[in-house]
Amino acid sequence: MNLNEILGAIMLFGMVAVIFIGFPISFTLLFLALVFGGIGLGWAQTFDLAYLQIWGTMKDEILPSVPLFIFMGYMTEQAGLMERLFMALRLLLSRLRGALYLAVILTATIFAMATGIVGAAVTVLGIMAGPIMIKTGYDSRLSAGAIAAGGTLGVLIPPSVMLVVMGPTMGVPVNQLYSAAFGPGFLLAGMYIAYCLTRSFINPALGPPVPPEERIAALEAVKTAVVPRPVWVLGLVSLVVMSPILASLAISVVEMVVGLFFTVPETPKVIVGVIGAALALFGAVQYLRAPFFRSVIIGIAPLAALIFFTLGTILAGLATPTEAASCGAFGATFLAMVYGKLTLGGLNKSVFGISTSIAAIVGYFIGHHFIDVGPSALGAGGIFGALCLGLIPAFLYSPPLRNAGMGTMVTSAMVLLLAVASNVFGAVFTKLGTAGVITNGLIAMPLGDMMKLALIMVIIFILGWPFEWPAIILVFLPIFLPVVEKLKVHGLSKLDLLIWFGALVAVNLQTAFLSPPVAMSAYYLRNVVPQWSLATIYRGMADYMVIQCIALAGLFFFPDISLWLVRVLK
Amino acid sequence: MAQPNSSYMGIIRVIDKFTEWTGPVFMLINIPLILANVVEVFMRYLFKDPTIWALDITTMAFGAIFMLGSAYGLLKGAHVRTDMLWDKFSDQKKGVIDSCAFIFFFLPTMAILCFSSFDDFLYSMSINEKSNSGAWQPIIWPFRAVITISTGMLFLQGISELLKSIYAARTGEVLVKHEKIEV
Repeated sequence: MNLNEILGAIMLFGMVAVIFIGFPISFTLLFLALVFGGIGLGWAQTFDLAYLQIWGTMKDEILPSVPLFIFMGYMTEQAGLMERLFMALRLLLSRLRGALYLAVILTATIFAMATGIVGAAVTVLGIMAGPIMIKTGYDSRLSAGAIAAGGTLGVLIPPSVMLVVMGPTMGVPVNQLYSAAFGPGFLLAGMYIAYCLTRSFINPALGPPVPPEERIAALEAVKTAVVPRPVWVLGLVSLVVMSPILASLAISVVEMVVGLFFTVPETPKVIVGVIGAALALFGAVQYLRAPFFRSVIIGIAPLAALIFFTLGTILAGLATPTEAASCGAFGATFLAMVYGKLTLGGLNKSVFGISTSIAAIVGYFIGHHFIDVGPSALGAGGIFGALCLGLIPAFLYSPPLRNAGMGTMVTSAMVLLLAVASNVFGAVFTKLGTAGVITNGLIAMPLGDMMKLALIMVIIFILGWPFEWPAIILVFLPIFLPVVEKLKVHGLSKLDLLIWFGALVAVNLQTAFLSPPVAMSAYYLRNVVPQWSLATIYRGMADYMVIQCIALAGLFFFPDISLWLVRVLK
Repeated sequence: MAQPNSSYMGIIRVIDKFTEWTGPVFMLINIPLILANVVEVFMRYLFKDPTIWALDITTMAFGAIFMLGSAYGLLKGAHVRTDMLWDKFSDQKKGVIDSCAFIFFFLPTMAILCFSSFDDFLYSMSINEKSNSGAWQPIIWPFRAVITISTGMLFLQGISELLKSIYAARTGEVLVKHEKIEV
């Protein structure tokens, strides 16, 4: 080891030591990178390196989907879509033993497909489900665990922000990482459900069915609820728009299965789509009068359509993650508007209208003048300008929009500043040469390839305790990456290997969100459901960590859990 | 408990108020961030007339919102700490650690980044640098100023946080409580 490599090692251990004390991680990383880089590489070069890393992160073309997916999640939450979903599922499942566990985990899983972070999911689920679970006599340990574990799915199941950061670091397309994360995500959700339901079937006291009088009360509430026209029209439209695609998907699956045994002619997808849409329309018209089905459709269909189109376009490679994320954020806002949640927060309507119109007119001219300078004939720049300025009053005065906007800014500032700092730290660390020494050390280890991979997973698991995921992905992953690339495991090609490794790391880091005593989910849950003690929540989370470890082992030995969807979509 | 003198509190209040005010202002960057691609998708698929500016506007809005929002994040205590040991410390001990960290870590780092990025900004402005990521080629030096402005604002907010933590270190009382934020 030369001097710089030793310096790098000191830097790494210094980081661990300082971070444990508790100063914000991003600033610690930046400082250490500047100081150690300055000593080892020269001050001028280090400052340039830091500047270039910051600039590079700011100009990244994939990372903009991070704030956009965060916004989409916040907006979905502000629009009350999670509550609707939960109520609908509760109604549907109420006869079942352990119905509330199932409703909680299903809500969390579907919500995870609309958000990229753990964020508010735990809080909202706690507020919605906590009181009724206590009232119905559900086991507190199992309930707390279900809410905490369900909430963490948000960071694993696409559109996961973690995978967006991981893609460029590993040199893997984000959409392939997304398709690789679906299998493990759904597997985990399924395992949570299986665990809860098995336990409630063995011992009904843990999760009794919803008592009849509650069920009747809930149904009464649904019957008497007045559903405004835009809301049910939206539900109907989403259902009808989605059905052709779902129908063709179903036919494709049938074709694939039948195709294993017989040769079948390909069914024309257009006809299938039309039939599907007609069936959906027919069914919806029949049943929309029934209050029960109406509330279920209104609760589920629009959110499902939003998720379907946002993720579908990414997975099919039709749109970049950033474009899909923009449309998803916009769509979530639109849903909130139709559901009547975008209130003005006490602002006078005419004041709002006038200020919006003036801003829009000014915006049109500004946009037209500055943006429509190229060959864009239709004047989209003016429209864009008008929309941007015209929406300022809404963003400032409508509480849901404002909350979502502020939440997005603060959360993305935190995540991305950490990403910037980790990038600077990682760049200095690599330049010092220590990363290479560690990598070579790992490669030279007298272990089998599977053992090496297992060792890396254990290291990441341990690192997940004190570190946040951006630091692990941006500082430590590049160290392990050259080792992983050289492995020959399960006979996978290099790209498949990397995608699978990405899925493994994602599940591993998601587990860290459940690991007491650092998991913040526990504090959140404790805040919103004070009846559950922190110890109970920790115990509940520990149970689910066992499930995580089983799933991780499963994914480790059977890469197809994550790779089948990648292969199907190819 | 001795009240801190009024000028001490005054500095904290002025800085906090400024940062508090920047929050909603920079939050508005969300609008172009979301809309640029939406307009682009509409133009491309409905009118077959893709824009040339959506990509540039999206990346610039993205770079601006998280950098400019980070000072507000500092005010709200959003930047994560490893709280394994931190939660067990007394408020006074937290104050001592934070004071040291702000003086020795934070302020010098931000000052360095602020000054070194300012040079790049000046150079970029002097050659009227243009973006090279598309056909639109807008000027890009205002975007370079984002780094200087954000690190400057972080420095300023750092002073306020430093004063707060010194107060906590001396008296054991916390002036502003922060909520934890989870990602």
